[in-house]
Amino acid sequence: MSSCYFAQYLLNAGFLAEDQLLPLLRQATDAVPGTPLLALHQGIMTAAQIASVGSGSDEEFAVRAQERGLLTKSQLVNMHQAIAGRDACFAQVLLDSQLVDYAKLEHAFRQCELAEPNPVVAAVESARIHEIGQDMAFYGEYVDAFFRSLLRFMDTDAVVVPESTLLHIAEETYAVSQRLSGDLNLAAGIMADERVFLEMARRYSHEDIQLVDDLAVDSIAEFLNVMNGLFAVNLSQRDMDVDLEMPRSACNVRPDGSHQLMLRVFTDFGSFVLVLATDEFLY
Amino acid sequence: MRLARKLKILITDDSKLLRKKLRDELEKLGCDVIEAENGKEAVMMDLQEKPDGVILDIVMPEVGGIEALQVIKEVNPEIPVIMLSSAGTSQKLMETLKLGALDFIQKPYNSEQIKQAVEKIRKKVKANE
Repeated sequence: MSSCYFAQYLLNAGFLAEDQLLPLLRQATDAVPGTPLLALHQGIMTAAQIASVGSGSDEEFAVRAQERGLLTKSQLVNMHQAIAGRDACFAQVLLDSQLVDYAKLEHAFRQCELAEPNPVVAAVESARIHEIGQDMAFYGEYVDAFFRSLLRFMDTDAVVVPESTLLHIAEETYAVSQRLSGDLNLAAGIMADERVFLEMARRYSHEDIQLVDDLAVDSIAEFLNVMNGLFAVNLSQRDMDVDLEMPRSACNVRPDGSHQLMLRVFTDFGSFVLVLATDEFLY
Repeated sequence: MRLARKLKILITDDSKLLRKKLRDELEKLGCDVIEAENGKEAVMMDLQEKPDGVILDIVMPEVGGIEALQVIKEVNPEIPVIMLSSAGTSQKLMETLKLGALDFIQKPYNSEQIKQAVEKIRKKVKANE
């Protein structure tokens, strides 16, 4: 299972609260997993073995673990050479913040791996307030694909909060949406305040965008367009044919679509609202 | 033998960002670049500017890429047209190739794909001369 699901799993399971997400996601961008965590994460040592080695610096831990035959030199070299997963970075922040211990992490890693459906889909499923229609069945899959695109194009993990206390729309809000129509009817949109909107535009475009101008709006529209294109290609491999309609943009609007679902999404640069509906909701 | 002169490429995409990024890529490859924001403009630019090749999006306002491809190919059957779109389903791919598109690139593109597209345009132009 992708390492980007770990924070979502922890939220779903009640290990984390909504107000902890933003600071933790931010800290995780700079986190470097230590030797005990890497050993646990890669299944080389158990939480009990880590506890038996005791605390200390990374170097001291490595020496003692090798002396006890719990870790070999080549394992140590290999695990530090491997690129740490995003779940390991997030877990290191939880350890540093003393929110979990190794035993809890061991359990959480295992449960996250076994989670079915994956934690993002599960969170979206839990948020659906209307009866399940044929198109709504794709909401979870869409958000999952959307999160992968956030990771790929904006280099951020994301967590969706199904029943967010922050679902109100900020006073100055910028919105971009795009509808897919055909064998699936689904409109998806991003609504964000100026700061988050600009950061998303900068991350996607790699341009120095300082104002919400045509280029900023266009960057978000192109992100949605590319993401939706990838989603459409995936659907076409299952013999579902969808067309992409023109992206729309608006400022300070209240979305009003059928079977509408508004989800607060947290990233390392802030939060925004992802709107899903079965028809266009920006007028 | 390589084409001695610079290729003139028409980029057609409603996305300002895409046009900017693609212009940079093409200019680095030594091409002259002209731009259109939609299919209608693309057809007009094709008639007026006579580019060597066209890079065409599909989802655009007013006149979309498939309609524009049809018209451009009717007017100038030999012009190489590369589709560059997010709407890269197999159905769209078949439809555009049937209408005479030289290739189809699914967004997001990478530099290598653009380089190969320019080479294809260059070869086609050379063959037509």
